[in-house]
Amino acid sequence: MNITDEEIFDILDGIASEELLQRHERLLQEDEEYQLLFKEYAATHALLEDLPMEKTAVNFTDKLIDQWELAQEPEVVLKPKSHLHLYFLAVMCALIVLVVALSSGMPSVQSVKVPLDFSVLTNMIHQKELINFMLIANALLAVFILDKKVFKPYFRM
Amino acid sequence: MHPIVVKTLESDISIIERILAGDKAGYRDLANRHKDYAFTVAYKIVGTREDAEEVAQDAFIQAFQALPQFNKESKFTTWFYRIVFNTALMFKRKNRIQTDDIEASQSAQAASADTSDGMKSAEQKRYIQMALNHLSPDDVTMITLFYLKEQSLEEIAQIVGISADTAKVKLCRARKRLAEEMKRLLGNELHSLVY
Repeated sequence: MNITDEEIFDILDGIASEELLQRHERLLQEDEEYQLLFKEYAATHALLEDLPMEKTAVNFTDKLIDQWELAQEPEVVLKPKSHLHLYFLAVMCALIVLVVALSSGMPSVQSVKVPLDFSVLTNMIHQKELINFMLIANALLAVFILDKKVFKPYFRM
Repeated sequence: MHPIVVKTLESDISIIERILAGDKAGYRDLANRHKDYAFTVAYKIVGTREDAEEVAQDAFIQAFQALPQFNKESKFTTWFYRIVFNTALMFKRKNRIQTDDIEASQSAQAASADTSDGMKSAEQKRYIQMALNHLSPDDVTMITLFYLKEQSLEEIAQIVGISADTAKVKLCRARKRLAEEMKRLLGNELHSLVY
């Protein structure tokens, strides 16, 4: 004779069978507990039927379209390409080639018997100041690269 | 004699076809049509207007991105509300907000909207929202989908990803829990709040 919760909601939704409606009417008159339960469900159902539709903010669509356009843009990662290490290597190579060529006496040039005087250049190379200058320049370049590639990324992290 | 111009509401599917053909205005049309409902479903689940707006926006973006894969044989709203539901659930799981805070902010919102005429309606809204905040997101979704736009049980089942029979059982349980929560909040005042 009992009516289940599901059946009560069928009654409230208006989809109950005739037989169920008759049982419900009978129980409403006879069973006080059922009466209370039904009233409780009916009150909640009535409140829910008036559940209002919430309104979005006025600029909702504009914000959404802006976001959508941003999401569609391809992500451009601008990473400046540094060729500093290449310059450093090139300078080092040039220096090594120059030093080797000058210290070996330029045999290929001598075989052609062209009177070339490298003594001034050799003297310059053998000057202590120039060597020191070169060493300092290379050291500075090395420190600069080390700072850019290692220290800056580390401290930024 | 003037010709009779019959203006029919453009269907969701034809808006989608426009979008897929390259008409960017279609995004705006689709958003304007479904924003309130998406926002309301999100609001009922996450509990605050700010978060609900974020969830609704996120759901729209996801839907726009997935539009090329949308099966035009199915109903757009069912597909889209499923996205809203899942996005709101994910958000809720990520941000477990103190229910008391939500209640307090919503009470304040409801109180500020009160006028002598709308007092009862604002009270009803406030208590319903307070009771909903104590239910699980699943229960809230079932109730919101069923009452707000009167979706059929089959549609609700598709949105939530369960069978229609399970949806009916879940909806019944959700309504029962809500009734219990309302009784806990209001006691014997429940009936007087409604009638």
